Amino acid sequence: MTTATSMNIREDVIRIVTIVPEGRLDAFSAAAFRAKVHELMANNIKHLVLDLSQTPFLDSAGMAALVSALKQCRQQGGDVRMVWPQAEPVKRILALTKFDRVFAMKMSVEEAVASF
Amino acid sequence: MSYQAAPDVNQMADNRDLSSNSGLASAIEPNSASADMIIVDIPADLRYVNILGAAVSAFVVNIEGLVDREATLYNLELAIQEVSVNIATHAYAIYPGRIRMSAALSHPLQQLTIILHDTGVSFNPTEVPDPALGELQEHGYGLFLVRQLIDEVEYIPAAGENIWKLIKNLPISRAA
Repeated sequence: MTTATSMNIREDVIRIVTIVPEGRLDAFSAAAFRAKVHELMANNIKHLVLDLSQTPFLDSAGMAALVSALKQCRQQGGDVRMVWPQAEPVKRILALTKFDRVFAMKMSVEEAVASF
Repeated sequence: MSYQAAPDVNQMADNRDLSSNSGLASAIEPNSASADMIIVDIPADLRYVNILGAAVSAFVVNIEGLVDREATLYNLELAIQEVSVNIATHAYAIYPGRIRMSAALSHPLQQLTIILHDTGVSFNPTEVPDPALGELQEHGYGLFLVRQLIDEVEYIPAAGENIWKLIKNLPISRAA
């Protein structure tokens, strides 16, 4: 007769929030994006997926907001995954500025979430 | 990218009529008699700056034989957006003002000349360093993008007014 093996079981659940900017992420709309990220950080969210698949236009103010989100997440011990934009010109700008090296780029939200 | 010290407006103007608008802008803007030219004048407000890039994009969208049309239009719109935001947030940081833009096509080279005029505070863009690409850097991409996406970029400050002059050689397919 065998005895039951003693074991501890722990379940970790990681909270990951996906932000999908729909429309331009630019000097005008970046403020709202920053406010949303700030609100999430205040609610102890530290893992973000930034899904740019629905973002047809991105300027340097929008790019600054994205980097700010990454910095804040990492300061909280979290991280960010970015989903590639569908718009080819936006992809080119991300490559030109080497944002595709700064951010962990993913092809889909599912892939991004699974990578945490 | 070049930077000029304040020019002699009277000398630049030659025989052009400076009475109807600001001297520097009138002196540098292409001849308004040209058929292929637009002028847009907006409040320097982040709610409106997108109008300028959209206007230029619409201005050149129907050019026959334009190569890589989507990317060319996007890059133009982005460069104009960056300059316009720079004007709205820096030149007019203390007091409000307007941005007056002209865009003109020259033939047969299909060279696009864009003039953005403001009456705000001048600065020296050559003192703005390029960003450290690939690093976790938040700011400094705006002028870098303008320099990358536009063939010739010139900033001309003068007493009480400033000019950005952007020249883009549009890629045209000869087969068109």
